[in-house]
Amino acid sequence: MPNTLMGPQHEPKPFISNRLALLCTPGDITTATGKSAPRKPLHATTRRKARKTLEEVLDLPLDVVFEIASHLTPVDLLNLARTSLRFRATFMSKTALGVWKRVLERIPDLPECPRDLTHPQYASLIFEKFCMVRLDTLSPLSALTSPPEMPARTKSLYAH
Amino acid sequence: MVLLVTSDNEQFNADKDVVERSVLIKNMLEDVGESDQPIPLPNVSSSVLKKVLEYCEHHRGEPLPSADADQSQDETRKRTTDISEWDQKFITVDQEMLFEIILAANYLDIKSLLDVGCKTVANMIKGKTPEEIRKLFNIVNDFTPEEEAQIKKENEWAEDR
Repeated sequence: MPNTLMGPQHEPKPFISNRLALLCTPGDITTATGKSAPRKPLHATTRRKARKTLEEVLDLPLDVVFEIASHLTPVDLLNLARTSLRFRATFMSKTALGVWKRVLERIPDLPECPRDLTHPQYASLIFEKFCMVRLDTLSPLSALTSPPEMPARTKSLYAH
Repeated sequence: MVLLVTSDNEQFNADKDVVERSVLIKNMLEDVGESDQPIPLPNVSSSVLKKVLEYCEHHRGEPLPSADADQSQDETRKRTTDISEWDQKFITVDQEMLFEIILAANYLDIKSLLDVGCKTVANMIKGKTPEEIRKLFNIVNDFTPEEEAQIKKENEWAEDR
């Protein structure tokens, strides 16, 4: 008798914990454990909608993805390129050069990217290393004039 | 009136000056000439076309950006991610619909609508950390912790490695 009762009582337990696990997105699991996600599909039971959005930004035509990205600020673009391998590959590819150029061109008075830096490196140098304040309130020129370690070529470009 | 047929076989009747905001349809109509033939839109579903027509209806009569206006338009685009109040309200939809509208605007070649969609997605990304962006779009973080630390320092072109 107790055996037959025990059976059904125990069964819901793994069911509930499985359900709870499903509530966490793979990203949450990654952060919670502090461990990296292994390179394999993380959950096979993804809801249809979640799976659709998962890939959808990069499933848009590449020129549309680039059009979206070209409306971002340099820091936003750097952050977007740090979300996943696929985003990284997309935006750190030279096919994305035009996007980086457009994003940097929109910054008023910003000197051209020095030849010995890539555009993402330049964006990071100007907007991540020096400007820790809101970049839209600060002219990048003030960041360029002060640091003594600024590469000579950047300075000469600034002088033009 | 022009008859449009969506991917799910729904028919939409719309005024010529409304549907001609789509450069694709405008060109099609020019090629076909005066005709009662329905225009098939195999890449657009009825729910999305309904939204797109709502947009075209509201903006009917406004000047279409011409090819040689690209320069000045680029200038405007450079300046701002502002979206007009009506457009903002119009584009307040769930993420799936937002992407569908962008896809349709791209396919139908409606530049101003594509612009509104792209700016909206860009505004969603703005000011967010990589982790927040992942949450927003359900992006799986597939970097190892070492890689993640590394990419913060490295910004070379992928091909250069």
